[in-house]
Amino acid sequence: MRLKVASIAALLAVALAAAWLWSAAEGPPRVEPSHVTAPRMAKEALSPAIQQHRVLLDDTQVRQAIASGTVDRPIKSLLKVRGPLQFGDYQWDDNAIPPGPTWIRVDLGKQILSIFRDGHEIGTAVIVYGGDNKRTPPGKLHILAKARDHVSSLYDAPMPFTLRLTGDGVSIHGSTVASGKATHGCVGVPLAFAERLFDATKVGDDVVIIPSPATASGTS
Amino acid sequence: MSSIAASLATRRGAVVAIAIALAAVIGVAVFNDRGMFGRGPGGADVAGAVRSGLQQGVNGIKAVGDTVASLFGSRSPGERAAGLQANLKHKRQAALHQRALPKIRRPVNPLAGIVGAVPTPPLVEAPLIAQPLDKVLNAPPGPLAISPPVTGVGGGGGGFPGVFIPGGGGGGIIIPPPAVNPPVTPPVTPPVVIPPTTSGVPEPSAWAMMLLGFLLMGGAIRQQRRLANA
Repeated sequence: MRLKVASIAALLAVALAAAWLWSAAEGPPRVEPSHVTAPRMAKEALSPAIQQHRVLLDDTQVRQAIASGTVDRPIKSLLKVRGPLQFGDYQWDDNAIPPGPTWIRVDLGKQILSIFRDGHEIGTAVIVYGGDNKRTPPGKLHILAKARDHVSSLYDAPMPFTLRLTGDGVSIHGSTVASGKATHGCVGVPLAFAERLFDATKVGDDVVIIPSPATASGTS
Repeated sequence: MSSIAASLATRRGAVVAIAIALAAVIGVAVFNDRGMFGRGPGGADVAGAVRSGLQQGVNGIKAVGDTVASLFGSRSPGERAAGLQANLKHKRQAALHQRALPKIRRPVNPLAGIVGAVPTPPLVEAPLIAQPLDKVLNAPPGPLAISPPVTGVGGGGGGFPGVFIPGGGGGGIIIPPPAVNPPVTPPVTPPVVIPPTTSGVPEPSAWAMMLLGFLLMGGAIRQQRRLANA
């Protein structure tokens, strides 16, 4: 009898320790280059007509971008955006971009978000993000869940096309995107862009959040 | 000057060969993907820059020399002002069923939800015990000392159950109720169905009861085994 109780207690202790180790291992995410191999040129697949709408990147630019932490993996092309985007603006062009690994890059300092597929940028938009009292967590995250018609359980706000990033509710979702606005940690994108983002991603895709320089240096 | 031109003219073959060799070296350096030529000591990839310029020239893209960061920066609306607080949405108001608030007991109306039921009029407190007991006991006999009964049926001498009041008059005398205003029928409102508010989190009492149950079960099993072994 005592042996049985002791064995059950030991099993419980082992399970608790495993759960604790597992939760600790998840820890704060870090931005690290996921691929350090030499990137390849993007000229092989895209027709000249499509290349007109894109900025093809070469090895030098990609290496420099990875070295400087601008991106954490090779990319092939960026959308050609004429001038600065305004709050509420977005651009989307996935014409002739083949299926492939999809990931999202969120640049808090520049207040822009980009989604890449197969190394090509297919969409970009101006964002709003967490205020100084409710910061958006930087690092390499993943889409944990998707909800098309989500309504916040914490705030009086609908959050359409939610891409959940953290267990405590930080998400990318459709929102009012205006100057002088700050969220409670979420990344807000224009509603139409959020729908495209929702349809183009799946659970498990990477989301890399790059902190603003002021935040990263801890001066704000 | 003329002598140099003359010597070049005489060595035209050598000059052409040197020019071809130089062009070959430059071509290899520019189009070599490994960048083994033309990389400066500081790590600057001259060949890449030239190749980039050539390719972008072919594609009609004006991004010569642009870094990825500058391309991102050119589309940015700029950095946000420091010190901005979250201001886009408001905290949800706590609902009534949340445990953060004290429980609110609503009066239970058994007719709630029954369509067409006549709502019960609100109870009117009778002024029966409005007077202190000693005042009632010491009052002179007579119907005047008795508080007006609520209804006219069987006034009962003032109605203090279990207390014998000597000389308490008025027993059995039907006293008509005092003139009161005609009863006002309350407005008929549609029955409001209150949804059951059950919390998703068990209350501490539920936990305690569950733990107590487990303890009792364990104790019973132990007792059974002890008796079986004895």
